[in-house]
Amino acid sequence: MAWNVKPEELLQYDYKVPQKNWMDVPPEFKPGTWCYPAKPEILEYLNKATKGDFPHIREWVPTDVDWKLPEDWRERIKKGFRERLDKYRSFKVFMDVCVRCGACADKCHFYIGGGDPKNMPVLRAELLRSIYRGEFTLAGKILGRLAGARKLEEDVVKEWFLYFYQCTECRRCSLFCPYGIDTAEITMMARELLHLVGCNINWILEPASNSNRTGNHMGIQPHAYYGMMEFMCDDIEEITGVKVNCPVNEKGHEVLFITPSGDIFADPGTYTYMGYLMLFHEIGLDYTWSTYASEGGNFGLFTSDRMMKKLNAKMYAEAKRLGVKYIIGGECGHMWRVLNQYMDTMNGPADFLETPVSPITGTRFESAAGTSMIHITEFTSDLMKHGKLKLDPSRNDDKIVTFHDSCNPARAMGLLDEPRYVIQNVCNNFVEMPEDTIREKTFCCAGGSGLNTDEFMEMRMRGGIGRGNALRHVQQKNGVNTLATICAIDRATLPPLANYWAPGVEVYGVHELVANALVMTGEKPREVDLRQEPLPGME
Amino acid sequence: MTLAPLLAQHREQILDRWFDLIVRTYPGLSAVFLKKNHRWGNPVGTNIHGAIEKLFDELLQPEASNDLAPLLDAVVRIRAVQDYRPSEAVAILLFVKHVVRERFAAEIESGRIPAKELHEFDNKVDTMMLIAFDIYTKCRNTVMENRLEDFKRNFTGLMRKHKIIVEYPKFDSGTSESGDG
Ligand code: SF4
Ligand code: SF4
Repeated sequence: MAWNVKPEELLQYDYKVPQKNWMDVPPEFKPGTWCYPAKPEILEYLNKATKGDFPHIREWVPTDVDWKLPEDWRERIKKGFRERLDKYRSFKVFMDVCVRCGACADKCHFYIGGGDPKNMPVLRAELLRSIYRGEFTLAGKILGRLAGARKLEEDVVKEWFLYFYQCTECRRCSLFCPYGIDTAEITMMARELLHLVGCNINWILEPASNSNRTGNHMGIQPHAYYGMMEFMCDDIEEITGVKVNCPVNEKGHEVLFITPSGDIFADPGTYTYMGYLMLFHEIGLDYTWSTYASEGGNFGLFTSDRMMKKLNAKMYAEAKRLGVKYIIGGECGHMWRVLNQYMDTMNGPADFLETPVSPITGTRFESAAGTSMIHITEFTSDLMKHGKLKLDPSRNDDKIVTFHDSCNPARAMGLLDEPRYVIQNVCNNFVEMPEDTIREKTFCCAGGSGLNTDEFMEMRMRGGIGRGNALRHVQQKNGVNTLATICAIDRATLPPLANYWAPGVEVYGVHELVANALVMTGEKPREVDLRQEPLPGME
Repeated sequence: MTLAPLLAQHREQILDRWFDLIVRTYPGLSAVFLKKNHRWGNPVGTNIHGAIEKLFDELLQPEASNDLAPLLDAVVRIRAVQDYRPSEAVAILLFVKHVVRERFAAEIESGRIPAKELHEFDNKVDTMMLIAFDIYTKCRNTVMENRLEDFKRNFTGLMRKHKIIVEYPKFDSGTSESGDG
């Protein structure tokens, strides 16, 4: 190699600027940008449990040249594609209607952070659309590339695997599309097609499989789940002096409470979990937990419509078995997308349940008449609005708090003001991040849709820049040190994101903040918060 | 004529060219996007541009300020998680040397810019590179630590419960000195 490198030579990686048409750029599997394939034993179980939804089980690695696809992989995909076009009108419309206006192009966090053109939502969808044209439309068959069409080759399958598992189904792009094209649903279709030829990832299928077996993503068995709850009750007693009740699998209560299992084992979600126990005890809610419906999350949403339906149905089966009147759901992200957008027509209406009515305030939650399930922040904000809680927000005075809108509650449910109302009732210092990065326009944590795995860390940090940039801004400008969120995946994905982009900011669930401020009947003078750190003034 | 006033005088042109070279290391259509002045929608472009502007001003000073490292951090932190080799990630800082040589080729050739001044300028850029190298390494370490922590986080509650991990009371040295400052 020559010394005295000239600028042009320094720029020899000018090759990065693809002179070629995107169709001619083959997918490259670099470390940190793809997730590990599903383990055969997991698939074996799932395939049996679903009577054949997960065929062609084998060991394979995306970096291998030979993916060991089934012999008839082309036919499988074409057939599956056709079936889905017939089944979902929306899918057909999304394939036909895009005018390539580009409004969505620079709205995806992965494109914003990395600049790979195939992470532009319009091009991501085009990966599928080009095959649709090439295989299913006359113009595409005749004109080929001129009509933006191409043929189904093995590289296309590889490209789908790479880029449809680089989409967090966050739907930020859809917000900007004049036609309302939902790229997340396109990604869902692509993932379903990939299942047909045995290409899927473990981080999604193992939790889905666990959920199907034990009722939660982590595969926790009932006795262990209950053991963890008792352990938390002990911690609560140590901190507050109050022994909270912990009803589990009990029939005949008014409410069933369901929340993500991530919060029972993984910090900092555990503190949010303790927060629920304290709140419900304090207001004397007539309720039960369930070790069977011990998962709010639904990784079926990231798998297939059938898996999603099955896992969602379990919550309702349990509500029926326990004879409750309605369900309260905890701080979870995608559970609410399933609930709000699919549940009613998929498993609903839940006509054996009732429209939720708060036993404390009498508020009737009409919006949940179909699903009979309300979000915990709807419930808690209503309690606060009616002055039913005794709160001491000064206990959170060491925190300058901002709020990360999780994609699904924000964009798929419109739950924007309730969490803010709750936070502002329990924290004296609240600051918003810049307008373009919150509420409906919120930036994804870059680990949604089952991509919150450690081998994907590189991509998560890359895609996390949108959120990280805004967070660092309020950290520098307002001294923000606390990032509150209402999603269990966020509680797992935002700590590393913050550690990289805004080191020093800690992640909290909203109900952890509530429980810190909650003045409980008969409590001892509180000296520490739920993390057993001294309260402000007690250091 | 000496280098410093020339640099100050041609600040905008030098920065434009420098940023343009940086943008060319990003694929495809990104070049158009990266030049958009959207602070929240285009964090890569606006942060890097904002930082090199200030870095350039630092280069004009006889002594670097305390902002130097944080400014380099703003650039390198982004590049460290993008699709670049380590050398590619930090090389964009070197570009400014070449931009200056390109711009003032005639003055350098004719000796109107003293070699000593040019050498000093180069040294400053080299210093930036060395600091950038440290920052790059720290950033990559953070990514790896994040992976480890992520893995552990799934079990923290369980480990506490079963006393697999012991917790010690917080150490209180009785003084405000932490020892690492
Ligand atoms: S849904 Fe989110 S991750 Fe997927 S393309 Fe759109 S913006 Fe990107
Ligand atoms: S905004 Fe909608 S119509 Fe425009 S390119 Fe994107 S998906 Fe197509």
